[in-house]
Amino acid sequence: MPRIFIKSARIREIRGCSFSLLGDGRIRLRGITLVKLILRNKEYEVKPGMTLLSALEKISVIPESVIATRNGEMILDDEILKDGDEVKLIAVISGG
Amino acid sequence: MKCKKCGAKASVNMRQHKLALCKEHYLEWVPEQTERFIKKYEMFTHYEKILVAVSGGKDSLSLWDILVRLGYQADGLYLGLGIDGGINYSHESHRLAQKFADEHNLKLHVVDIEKEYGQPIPVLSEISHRGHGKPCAVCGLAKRHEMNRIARDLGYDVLATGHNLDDEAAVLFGNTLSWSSEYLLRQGPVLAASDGLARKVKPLCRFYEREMTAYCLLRGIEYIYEECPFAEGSQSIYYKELLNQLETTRPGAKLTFYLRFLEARKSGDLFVEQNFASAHLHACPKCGQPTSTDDLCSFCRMIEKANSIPTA
Repeated sequence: MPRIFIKSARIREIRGCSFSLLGDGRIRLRGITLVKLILRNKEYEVKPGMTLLSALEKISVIPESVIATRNGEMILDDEILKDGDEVKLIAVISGG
Repeated sequence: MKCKKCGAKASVNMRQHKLALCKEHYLEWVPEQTERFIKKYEMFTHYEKILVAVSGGKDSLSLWDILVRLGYQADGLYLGLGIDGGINYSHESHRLAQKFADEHNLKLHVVDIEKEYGQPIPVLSEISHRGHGKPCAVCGLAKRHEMNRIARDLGYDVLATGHNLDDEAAVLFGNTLSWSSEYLLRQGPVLAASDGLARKVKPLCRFYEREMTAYCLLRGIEYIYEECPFAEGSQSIYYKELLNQLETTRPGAKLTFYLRFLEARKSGDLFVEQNFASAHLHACPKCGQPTSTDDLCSFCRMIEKANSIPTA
């Protein structure tokens, strides 16, 4: 686990990371956690805490064209995506 | 989001109906609605033998599953098109169709185009020069010919296909863009039988593609996830994507587009059936199926041409 010693007290947030303040003023940086969305062979990453709908808009995927599953369960547009979630997007449009 | 029926966590949200359902109630709702559409459009009865065109895809397998659950006499027909595309497409789709049939103790007729006629679809397409480098036109011709042949030869009363609302809306959209009135007049949930042609029905025509995917997933039906390798870049997929963009901001737009078209056509407000000189049909001298051409039907003519070319 990386240890980063930050002297300045002005740093309040490190993007995409979680961290804990140690008793002696040092900050322990935890592993970066994001939400992974997988559509066919493409992987996308978004920050946790947003809804599935927001995540799809962010990665420019039309919500009507996919069904999302997490841990084998279908999830809906209003589902909040959490740290470390892996969401599989199943394309519904077929041809042939 | 909660299930409208029981308040449990919803698995499927259908914005066009303002209806969210849990897994259990969704899997009840889909067959109920299918039965309603079968009756509404007078597609078939429980006394009739139904042949379901099964491709191994989500729609056809869902259709077969639903019809069996509703107690209909439904057998399957799989057409082996000989399409590989680097993913063994036809082999895999056949495997999944057969797996479904075996697991549910259902009869699946299998026709292999190459074994039956000497060449797979991609080769027939090259030889016949139909379709501008893609085999889709030949594929469609072969499927229609063979589905009708098997339905007729084996005494089925009706042929059912898994066309869903997205398929219908995309076709309607394309035909409207080009004002193809002859096709617009024929499009609908039921194509009546005529001399030599089996009745064709689309029991899933009011379900969104997304709903059928959800049905398959929740029922645990394994289907071929990959698209036909020749489908990439196809017009129908492009139209579906456009309509889905519309649907995202206007829930229900696709359904309204299709249903209002059917109503307008039925009421006579949209089209006046002019004196379309009905094509004079006669039986093809080789296969016996109806054709408007003077001699062999388009399919038999294509096969004859393919077989006349010496092989290396």
